[in-house]
Amino acid sequence: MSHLVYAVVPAAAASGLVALDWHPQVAVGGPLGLVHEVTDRRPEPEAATVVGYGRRQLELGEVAGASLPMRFGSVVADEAALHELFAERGEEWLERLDVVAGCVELVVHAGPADTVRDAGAPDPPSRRSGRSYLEERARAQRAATALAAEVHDVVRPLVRESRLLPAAPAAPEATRLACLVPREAVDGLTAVVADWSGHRGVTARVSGPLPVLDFVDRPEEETS
Amino acid sequence: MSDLVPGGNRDVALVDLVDRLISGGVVVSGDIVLSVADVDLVYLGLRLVLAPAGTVEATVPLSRGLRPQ
Repeated sequence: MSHLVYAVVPAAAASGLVALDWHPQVAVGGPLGLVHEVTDRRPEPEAATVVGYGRRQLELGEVAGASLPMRFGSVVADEAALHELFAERGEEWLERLDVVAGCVELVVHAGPADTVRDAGAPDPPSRRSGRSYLEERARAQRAATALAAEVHDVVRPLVRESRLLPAAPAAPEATRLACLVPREAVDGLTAVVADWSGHRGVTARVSGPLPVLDFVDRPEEETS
Repeated sequence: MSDLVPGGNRDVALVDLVDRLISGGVVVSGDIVLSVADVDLVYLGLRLVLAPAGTVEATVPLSRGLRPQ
């Protein structure tokens, strides 16, 4: 048996979480809790399983008020290992729970028309020579960097933090900005992005709300 | 989980979720269940979902920086 770990939560939220219909367990260590599920099977590496895991993490965030979601597939051997994590990471987790409290993650995708594709789409075919292909990619990268700065300025009043994500391989010209957004500002951010993209003549979409997967660590440098 | 852009594609939003779930989140020092190969399998599965029937690529470049950090 092993423990599939879902998220770090405030210990005070534990009693509310065990009442969820999938009956998670919560290991408590001081002011923190680790939400987990005892299992005799590894999670299947299938999209449906991953999505189900993510939905549970989003639910945990809503019910607990603040949570730090684990990367999919995080498993520890036993309860003792869970408590070791409190000792190793407790201080850092407490700090981040404070930052993400009441928030969800939205990802703003923006780029020239027809370049905003999903992360898993195959690369479009290229008929250019090697050198012109590389020049095109470099130009696309510069354009994406400039666009990212623009998007950041547009959303900054509505977000607590933001992180620039790597470009999706299928759309190197498009920028992806992960935003830590208070729940009450979700509609406002969507509207602001839609308004900006219309005026700017670029394609933009907002995906989410997601668990705050890109905001579980301290930022390397302040972006907002 | 829904795309907030009116008329957005739900499948596309789900791909975003999977992408973030595999790339982000707290990493603990215990046993990370997903091996690199398993992550690639998830992406292969997604391409099967998104591709029209009968057009699944025989050679899909699976390792394009989309691995757990």
